[in-house]
Amino acid sequence: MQSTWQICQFELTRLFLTKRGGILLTAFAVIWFIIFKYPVFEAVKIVSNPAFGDNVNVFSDQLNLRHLMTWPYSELAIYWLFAVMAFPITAVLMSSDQLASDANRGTLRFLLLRCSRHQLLFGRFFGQLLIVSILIGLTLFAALTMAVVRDGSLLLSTFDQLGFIAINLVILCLPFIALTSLLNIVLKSSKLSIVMIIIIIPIFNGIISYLSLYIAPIDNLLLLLPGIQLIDTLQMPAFDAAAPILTPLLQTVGYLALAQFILTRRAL
Amino acid sequence: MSSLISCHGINKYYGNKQALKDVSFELEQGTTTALVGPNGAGKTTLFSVLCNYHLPSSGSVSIFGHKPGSKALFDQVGALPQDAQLDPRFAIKHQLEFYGKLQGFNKAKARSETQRVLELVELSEVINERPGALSHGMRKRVTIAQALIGEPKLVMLDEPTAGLDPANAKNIRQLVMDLNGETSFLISSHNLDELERLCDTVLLLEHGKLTQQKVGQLSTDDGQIVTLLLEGNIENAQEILQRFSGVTAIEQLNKQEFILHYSHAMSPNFDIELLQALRQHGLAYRQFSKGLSLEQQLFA
Repeated sequence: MQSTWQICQFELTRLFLTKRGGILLTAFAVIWFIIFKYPVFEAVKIVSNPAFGDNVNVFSDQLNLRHLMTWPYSELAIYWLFAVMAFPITAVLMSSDQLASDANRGTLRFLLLRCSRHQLLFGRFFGQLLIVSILIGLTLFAALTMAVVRDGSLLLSTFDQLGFIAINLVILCLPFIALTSLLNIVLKSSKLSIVMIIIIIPIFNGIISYLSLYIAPIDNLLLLLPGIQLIDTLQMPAFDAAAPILTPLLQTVGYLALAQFILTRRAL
Repeated sequence: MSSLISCHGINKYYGNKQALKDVSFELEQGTTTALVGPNGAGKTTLFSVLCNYHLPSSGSVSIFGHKPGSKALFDQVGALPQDAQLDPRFAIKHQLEFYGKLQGFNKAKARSETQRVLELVELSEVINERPGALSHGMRKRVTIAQALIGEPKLVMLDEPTAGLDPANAKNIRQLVMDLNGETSFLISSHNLDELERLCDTVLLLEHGKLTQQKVGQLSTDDGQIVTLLLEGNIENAQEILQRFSGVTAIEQLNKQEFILHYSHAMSPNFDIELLQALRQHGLAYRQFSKGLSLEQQLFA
């Protein structure tokens, strides 16, 4: 446990003290600055526009976002809309090099003299989870600050909502980070891991969806892909509703179990 | 003495290729062991199995009575894996302190341990540098330093002096000699002269098979042999040596180097008398050693 926590802490320095981490953080900050400056800043106008729900319905017949209009803070509603879409990709980019470059360079060999393979796997996984959680916390705090500056009277009634948003965003990112762990071990390349998740998986999604039109049970294969519950998460109507968390949690356990199985047998 | 490393029937396959074939050996604590063999013989594979980087296809390995990779070995075994490099994005200090913490040290102890091991390899001044700022030789010495964190009881070094300049190679050899006794070493190298000076046990791997295990003082393994390297090119050197009392046979390795077999019973003070005789005949020598060199023992 001690070693896992040490490795987890080291991941934080990997993001905040390295050039690559700095570039990722800068890109992340620029993107979220734009999101805050335009859609979130204009949130009240956007959400109060009667055409808001209709416009989104044009995007997808199944996507119903009218419940966002009932959120006390429109800023948080718009933040939620963007965060659900952005954080899975952010999690993949941030966690894309959990083991690959260290394995190729041989650095893992120094570590394996001092910790077990499963400590390494879970230390890196929880380190990335901690990083993504910090980023979620920071952006959520920024959105809340903008909302409170506009109208501070609703602050006390929004704490439950903040918890709901933070927990669901973290759970949403879990399988993406776990799948990146697995692909790092299988592919031994951070770039290929990103390509697999961002490009290949949507293609698999499309193929499975197409085939399921002819053979319905094939549809169940979608449960193997991360983010399959993303739309359900996005249109959760109420903060106290049972969130679609089972699928991402099971996916996370499955990906990590498979990663552990392969890692304990792989030559490093 | 208690067991240091115990291997029984180790086999390792890479697809259809068998890298290790039924390798078995026992080493005791306090020994310095050489792992030698030609390229592709399986040295690095055996090294990797001992460090838990590779799993054996069959057979059993134990170090201090534990399986490689066991938690009990984390502060007892250090290693320099071949070609492994530190993370170029972090300072040496940051990485070595992290390794110290993984071994259970607190922050202050990890820091002092980092300074200690860098002093051992005479690189205290690079503590705040990143690996990319160092020469190949310096990076190698830093990775040797990481193997010494926590004063492990066993240190395994794969080609520790390859790529080092003579002065630094000498320093590393001196370091091994200084730590010898309290620390057991397993050293893989192609430099037989180096291994001969450092090691008291030799494991020879050929085509994945352990073909020889020599234990004890190699250079005095056979007390009735002397290896002699003369200076200059002396035409009749073999004739002169052949006539010397007590000599039973002579092998001429090259124009200057001879192996003399002698009878201890016939000439109890053979070595002293031989040196005197060389002087009388005006034969200067460059090297005089009892027994066979490691190279002769293994590959003659």
